[in-house]
Amino acid sequence: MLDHSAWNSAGRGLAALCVCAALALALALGCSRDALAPAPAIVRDDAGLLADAQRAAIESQHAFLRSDYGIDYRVEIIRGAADLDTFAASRFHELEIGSAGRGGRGLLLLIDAEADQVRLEVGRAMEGSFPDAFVAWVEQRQMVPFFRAGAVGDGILAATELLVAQVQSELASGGFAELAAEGSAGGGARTAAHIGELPDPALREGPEVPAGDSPEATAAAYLLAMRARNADPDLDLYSAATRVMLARRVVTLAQMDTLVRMYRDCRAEPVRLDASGVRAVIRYPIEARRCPPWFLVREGERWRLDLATASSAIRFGRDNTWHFAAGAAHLYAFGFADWTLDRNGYPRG
Amino acid sequence: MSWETSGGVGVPPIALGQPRPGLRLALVAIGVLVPLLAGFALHNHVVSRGEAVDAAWAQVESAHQRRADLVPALVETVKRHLRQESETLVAVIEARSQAVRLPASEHPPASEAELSRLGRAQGELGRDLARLVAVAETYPELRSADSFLALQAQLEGAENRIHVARLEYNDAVRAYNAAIQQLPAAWLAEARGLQRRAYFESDEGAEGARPLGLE
Repeated sequence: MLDHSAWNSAGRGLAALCVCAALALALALGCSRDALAPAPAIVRDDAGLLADAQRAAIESQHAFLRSDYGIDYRVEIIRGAADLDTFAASRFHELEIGSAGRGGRGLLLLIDAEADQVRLEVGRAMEGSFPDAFVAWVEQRQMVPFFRAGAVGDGILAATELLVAQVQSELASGGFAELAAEGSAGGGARTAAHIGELPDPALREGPEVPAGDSPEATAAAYLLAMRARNADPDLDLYSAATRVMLARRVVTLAQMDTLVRMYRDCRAEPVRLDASGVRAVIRYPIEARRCPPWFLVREGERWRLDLATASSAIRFGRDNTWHFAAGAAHLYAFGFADWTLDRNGYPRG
Repeated sequence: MSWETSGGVGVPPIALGQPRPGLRLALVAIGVLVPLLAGFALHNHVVSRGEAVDAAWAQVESAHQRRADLVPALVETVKRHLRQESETLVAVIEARSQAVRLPASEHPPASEAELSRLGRAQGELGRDLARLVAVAETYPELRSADSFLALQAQLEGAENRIHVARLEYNDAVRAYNAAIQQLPAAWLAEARGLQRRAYFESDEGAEGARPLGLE
């Protein structure tokens, strides 16, 4: 028979063993969870619609969205969901979208390649920033035109640019409208994707817009054409090279709307002409980082927009500020001779 | 009695088979406390399931209200373009009026019949709205207008929220009903007169306008 002290001692030993075992188990579980839990995949493409480069670009852009703004934005291209709306809500829950963001901020873009539908599901925490009407506008006026041209990856990237611009606009106006909540209540929008269908030719037609007799007049006429959503690539105010470029390029209603909004508060400096008087630059003060300059060329005695050169020489950063492409050599450098550029091409005073 | 006389070496002479009075008291206390705590836990579980149902119901009501709030703006936008479609407009206004006339409540309707009546009123509104949007879409000028696109998107979003809220409500009801039907919670439910809650049947009332998908 065990005596009392032996019993106590055995009990203490057993208790200590249990505590140690529990601690070891907890530690092991914690470690294995950290070690085994993979980082949530940003892109899943079951339909093979994305090229490797596009997939990498989306992953990179969405990783920035996560690090810069705490938004957990995932993309899934699937085949044949019976009901995309219901599937999106349940998938959002299943993938715990928002868990990799801050404050439960999450977005899920679902493209059903078989049903030719797209849905951007917006989590509860982001409904304040992305109302359904805005999401529908992004889908229909920005994403779908790229899808029509078969450029699914470009459409996703172009849509993300608008989402970023919306977040920045929220931040600039005093705060990021967010609701402290997780999951999805069914917010967002679904629309027909029209993948691979030909673009609507009516959208590429518009009334003629003559080039101006001064660089300022041409830039002003261009903004008016964009306000009227005139996507005709053959407008008189474009240079010859620009017309060739635009004929191959997808231009969306949302891009035109965004461009008009972007320049609304931009106040230009006086026009700068090169020595020959053939090229002109309209630029904005260096601190106006979201007002990219205009390049114009004199062709046929009228000033025409040289968007072809601008598109190769100018790039936009994650925060939509403009900068010169690294190593870009172009004929409009005279307009920026008094500025220095940092190693990433951002102008400095 | 000294410890030495019991032959021990400084050990109390109590055998393991004879618990001390303190230990006996502790066993009795455990015998009483454990069932009591288990009862509390069971009660709290049932209460929290019931509260989850009420919370899910609040989401359903909020989603219904969201849709009803969109109707005046939609009717106003469409009215400017569809003067000859007054019957459709009147039907929508009537259906909205019927739907919002039903009193809002913190708790969901207790009976299937009452829930079904509410579902029918909401369903009528959903179907009339779908009809109105379908008619509006035949007018190219209206269909391409951003203001109409925005309203249509908000309406579709409201319909989808109703659908999701009802699914979540049904899930909460399913969990609650299961909780009060399983033993021993069933005894507690019977003692407290807790009734099983009603489900939405096959998404009744939300199906009318769900095919509003944007084109």
